Amino acid sequence: MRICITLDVMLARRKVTSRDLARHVGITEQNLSLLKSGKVKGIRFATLEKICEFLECQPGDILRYEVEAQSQAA
Amino acid sequence: MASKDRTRVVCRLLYYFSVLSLWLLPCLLVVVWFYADQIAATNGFIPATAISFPLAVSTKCFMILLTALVSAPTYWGLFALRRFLKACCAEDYLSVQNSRYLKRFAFGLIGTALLSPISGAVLSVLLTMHNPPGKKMLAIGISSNQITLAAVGGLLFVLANLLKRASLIADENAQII
Repeated sequence: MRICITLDVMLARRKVTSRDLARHVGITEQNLSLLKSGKVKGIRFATLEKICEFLECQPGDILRYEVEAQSQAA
Repeated sequence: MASKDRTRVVCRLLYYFSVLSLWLLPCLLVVVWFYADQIAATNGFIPATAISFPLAVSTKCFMILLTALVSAPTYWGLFALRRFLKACCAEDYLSVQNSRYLKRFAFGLIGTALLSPISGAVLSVLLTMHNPPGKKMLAIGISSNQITLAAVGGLLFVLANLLKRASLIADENAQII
């Protein structure tokens, strides 16, 4: 996937546990784990908003666009 | 009563009805064929001279087997419907497996609609094949019942496909956090 989720990095920086974030956002820890591992097809704006609110960061801090190796070669 | 509860109640009622039908269908086959001569003699649809009364037990057993073969699609469809309704009772509406069950029921209905004129013709020939020439019968009956049944089957097939699409969308939505 070209969109990488760096939520775990942000959680470590803010010294926040997944459980606290999940509780604040209103999603299960299991879903948060799926989100951290990038095994989801999308993220709702409402979820993103709550994550940013809790971690006091911007969406760009937890989402990163990665250029694939093929397109780099071209 | 909330709409969700109402759906569940209707599904529960239909589930019991389908279970009852699954038990009643084989019983009805036996009852109809073991009292077929009385029924045929009293309703007047079949002339009394056309079929030799009373039917031999072996003939009745053969007719039961033949009718069971013809009603197999109905039975298969009812079985699938029972499973579909059972899942609906548990509020598991949107799943690919449910669409498969509904599709099977639709195929069962279409199969029944297509087979019933053929089975009617076959039964009339078999029941009168020992009659002297001129008294043998070939009854082909196509009624609005069969056309309606096939149309409902087709409609359910379309709805089953829509249910499949809906379940795929629901599955995708579940992957959006």
